[in-house]
Amino acid sequence: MIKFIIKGLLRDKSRSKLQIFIVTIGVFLTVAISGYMKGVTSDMINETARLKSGHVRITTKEFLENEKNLPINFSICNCENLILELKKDFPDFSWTGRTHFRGTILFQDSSGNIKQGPFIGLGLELNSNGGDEIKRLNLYKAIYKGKLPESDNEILLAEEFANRIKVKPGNKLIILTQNNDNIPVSKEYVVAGTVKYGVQAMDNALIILNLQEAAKLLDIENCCTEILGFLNSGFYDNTICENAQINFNKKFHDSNNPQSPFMSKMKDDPEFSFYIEYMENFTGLMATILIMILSVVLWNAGLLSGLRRYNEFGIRLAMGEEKSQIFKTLLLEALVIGIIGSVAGTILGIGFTLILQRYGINITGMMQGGTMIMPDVIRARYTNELLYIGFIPGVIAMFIGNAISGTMIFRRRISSLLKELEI
Amino acid sequence: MNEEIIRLENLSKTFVSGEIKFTALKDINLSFKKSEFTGMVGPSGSGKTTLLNIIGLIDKPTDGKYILFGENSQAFNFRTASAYRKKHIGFIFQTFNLLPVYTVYENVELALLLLKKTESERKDAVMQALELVGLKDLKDKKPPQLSGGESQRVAIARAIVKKPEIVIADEPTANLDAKNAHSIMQTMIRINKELETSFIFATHDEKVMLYLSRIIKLEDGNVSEDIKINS
Ligand SMILES: Nc1ncnc2c1ncn2[C@@H]1O[C@H](COP(=O)(O)OP(=O)(O)OP(=O)(O)O)[C@@H](O)[C@H]1O
Ligand SMILES: [Mg+2]
Repeated sequence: MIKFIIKGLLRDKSRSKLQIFIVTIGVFLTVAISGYMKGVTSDMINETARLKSGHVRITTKEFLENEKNLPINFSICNCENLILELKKDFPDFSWTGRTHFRGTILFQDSSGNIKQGPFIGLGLELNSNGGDEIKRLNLYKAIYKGKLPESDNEILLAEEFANRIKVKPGNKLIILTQNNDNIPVSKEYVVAGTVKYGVQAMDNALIILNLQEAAKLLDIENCCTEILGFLNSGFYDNTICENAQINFNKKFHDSNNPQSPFMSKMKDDPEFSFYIEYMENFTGLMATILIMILSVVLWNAGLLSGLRRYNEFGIRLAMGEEKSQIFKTLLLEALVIGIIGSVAGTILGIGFTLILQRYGINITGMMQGGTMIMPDVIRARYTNELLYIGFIPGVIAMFIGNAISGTMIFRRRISSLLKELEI
Repeated sequence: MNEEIIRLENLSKTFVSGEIKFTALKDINLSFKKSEFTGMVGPSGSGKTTLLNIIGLIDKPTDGKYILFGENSQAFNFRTASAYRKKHIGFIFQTFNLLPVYTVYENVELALLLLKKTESERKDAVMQALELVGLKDLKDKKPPQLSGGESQRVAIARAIVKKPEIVIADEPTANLDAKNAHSIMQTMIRINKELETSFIFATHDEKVMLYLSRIIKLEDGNVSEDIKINS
């Protein structure tokens, strides 16, 4: 009998065309949107990690708690040795030190008057570690005017900042800040170039200089405010980060000593973790909505195709087939159609995702501000979840839709089914 | 030969739709014997189809008894009624009602699939039925490729392939020309003789009446005449 049903299904293609079409579209949309959302999410995560927080981040507890003030006297010291140990203990990550500090700059405006304004300094390993940071921050591309610093007395300015204070590459300016002992210090630097990231955290009053130079200026030699760890896979993985966090803190963190290094992971940031959960729920929500909408649509499509088949059902009933048996065969057909449509939709959706993963959509200028850092090219991202995120709802919806329409058809008496046949 | 297979006692059928009640069959008393070749005749609306539906266990009477093979059908639930139809009753419809996506062979085979016969049993029975209606050569065609006469023969083969005791045929010749109508009737007569199948028709067709061994006239839901013809 199953063979008989499948034969009918394969031969009468028009019977299932509409339903296959609906399932395919629905599943495609789900997979494509999920792939796209995953791409956006992981791009935002990576961008945030790259520019701001790393996948994991080591600071002192004290620094973490007063982060807004960027207190350099709560820096981690002996950074070089610590990084060597980290490289040995956590080979899944690459490590780099960075230093954030606040200060004031003094500059001459066009009419020769001395002006001043606040800035945020970012010390980066510009000429060590094989230029990892330059690659990570995409500095060559981010350079808007001028060039990368070649010596310790050269600095980069955020383009927006430089523009606001009307400073150009080649100009000199004076940095004024407090060192580790709260003593005011100042030094003159040459602007080597300007950078533009299109994200608030990197464009607002930012000055980039060499990490060692920053340490020298602040009198915190061989210290840095933070050490960032980046997963070599390139993608945030909460389990790996959590393990690293536990192991690191067991070994290096002393809860009685707020100056001892402490590792946090991206997900410890409440805003970030809210966002991640939101994204995860979003996929679940998508699947649920898909099941509901598709079920209703397929229920109606099922009624339509059932209507076309009153004839067949009437005959089969008259010939002595039981309603429950016909109902079962109807569901079997639904399963086959659901699988065909879902496979097609999944393949199309994954195809779309892979194309978008490769080529991306440029959204420069669409997004601005916020602490989550948005990249300017949005890419989709393929994950194995896409294999079933649309497939399972597609099959389930087909099943529910046809179960409902089947029930409605078979609630009629056979005599009325046959009457509609005009025997 | 004179075995009674169907008895209707004081049987009536009333349709209720909303406020309106309509009694389509009134106090019918009839008995059918094995291998009778009976036709119900009567004007449109006289209750022929209604009566056939009840005999075919597609509908239930409102009052009275329908005794099939000695069993009171009142007690049948949907499942039992299906089982009776599956085994003992074959249907032939005015509009043939073949399943268009299946071949002639498969259309006939369906009746046996429902009875869970083995493949070789099915093959033998289907080929025999197609032989009886003279369609062996067309077994791989699909219904849309067949003429009306051929289609109705397939429907006959489908109805008789399981060798049922009763075949019910509502206006089987209404969509056929005279030549095909006669030929179909001859085929059914032959099956009636060879397999001792009881045929019960509803018909307006004069040509059908030529072949009948019994004519039951219905008028307004009553049996007005019941004529047995000795040939
Ligand atoms: N489901 C129903 N609900 C209400 N009335 C019905 C129903 N089925 C049949 N009838 C009525 O019962 C009467 C008998 O109908 P039936 O179909 O048995 O007539 P018939 O003798 O087969 O007519 P015809 O020769 O036109 O096929 C008709 O008046 C019809 O309108
Ligand atoms: Mg009728």
